Amino acid sequence: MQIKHSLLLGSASFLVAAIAAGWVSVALTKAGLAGPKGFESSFEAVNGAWMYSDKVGSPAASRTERARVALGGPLALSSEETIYFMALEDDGGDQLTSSCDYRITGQSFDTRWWSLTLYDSETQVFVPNDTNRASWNSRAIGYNADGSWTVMISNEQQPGHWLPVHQESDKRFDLLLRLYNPSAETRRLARTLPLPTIEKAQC
Amino acid sequence: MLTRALPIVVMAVLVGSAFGALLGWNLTLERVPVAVMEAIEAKMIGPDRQWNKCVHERQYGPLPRVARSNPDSMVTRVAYDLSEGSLRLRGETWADYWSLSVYQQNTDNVFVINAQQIQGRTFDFTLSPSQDSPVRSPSQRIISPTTKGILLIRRFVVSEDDVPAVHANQDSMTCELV
Repeated sequence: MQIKHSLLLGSASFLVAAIAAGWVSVALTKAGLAGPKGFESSFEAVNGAWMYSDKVGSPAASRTERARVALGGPLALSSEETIYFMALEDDGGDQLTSSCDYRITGQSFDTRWWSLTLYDSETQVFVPNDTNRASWNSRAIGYNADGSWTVMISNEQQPGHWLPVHQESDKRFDLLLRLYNPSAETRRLARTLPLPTIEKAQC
Repeated sequence: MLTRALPIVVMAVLVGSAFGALLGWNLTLERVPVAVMEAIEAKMIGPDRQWNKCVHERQYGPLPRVARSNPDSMVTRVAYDLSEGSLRLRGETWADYWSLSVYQQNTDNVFVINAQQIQGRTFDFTLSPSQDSPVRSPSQRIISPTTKGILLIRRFVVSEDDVPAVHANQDSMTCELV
């Protein structure tokens, strides 16, 4: 009789503990996947402030990487078609925020199309602005005499190529550099490509 | 009696917690991508639940579509359900970057082709659930590993000046369940 009671008590304890731990686990896993270190965790540091991922949209991604990308950037093209770079910091290692202005300088890429896009890191969509501008691309941008290009990031209008950020200070943003239909050489050298510099101009 | 049962209860709680935590973690990782796809598909099919319908984005510029979408692109999107047949898509590619991509129900990009990989300026693809489904010539078959999913056609646009031409390109497309 006592053994029967002990087993019943043990089974009930197992079930209650499993359900409780299951709920906690689901909540913690979801929070971890969607949190500030979720999407970018699928990227690896490569060059300057930039991180690279060949797992975005890829069937080769692990279950964790797939879930992170699903929440932070779903319906992306696989690395076979597009190379993705992401920056959360400037070249000095400081987080990109709306409290500062930044100068981005880069070269063109051997690719069908490239674009540089700015996203609010919290909402993961565009920063609303009067000019309706969130990106510059290889066709729309003007190149300097030496073939380079420059984009200014600021919450005040800038001459030349300007990407607006939040009017409020201390808002985090991130940059995505996408290379669509890159040449075979560009794809092969993805981890060592010379990438744009992200220089803090003023705070 | 309680003293005798205590070790069993403690052991049961420990094993139960570990089992529940592991199960919760695994289920979440499996479920999250599918839930994201279902949420996007629900938006795409709307209240009338119109699967297999080509929906053209008519506006150019930054729109809060999904997380980190590309504002350069004016997309045609289809939430597909191949349980009742295959989906045939025909039309013209686009002068700037153009691609057609297929996402299975766990978000994986299982197929992509760009304009430079297509001979000529027209395309004709049939998205089917298996190799056995009939495909009308000269359409090229794309197999979707899952019955449901999302197909995207991206056209990259330089400025607002391109919008009328994009609309004409979109309107010339046909999407039909065959």
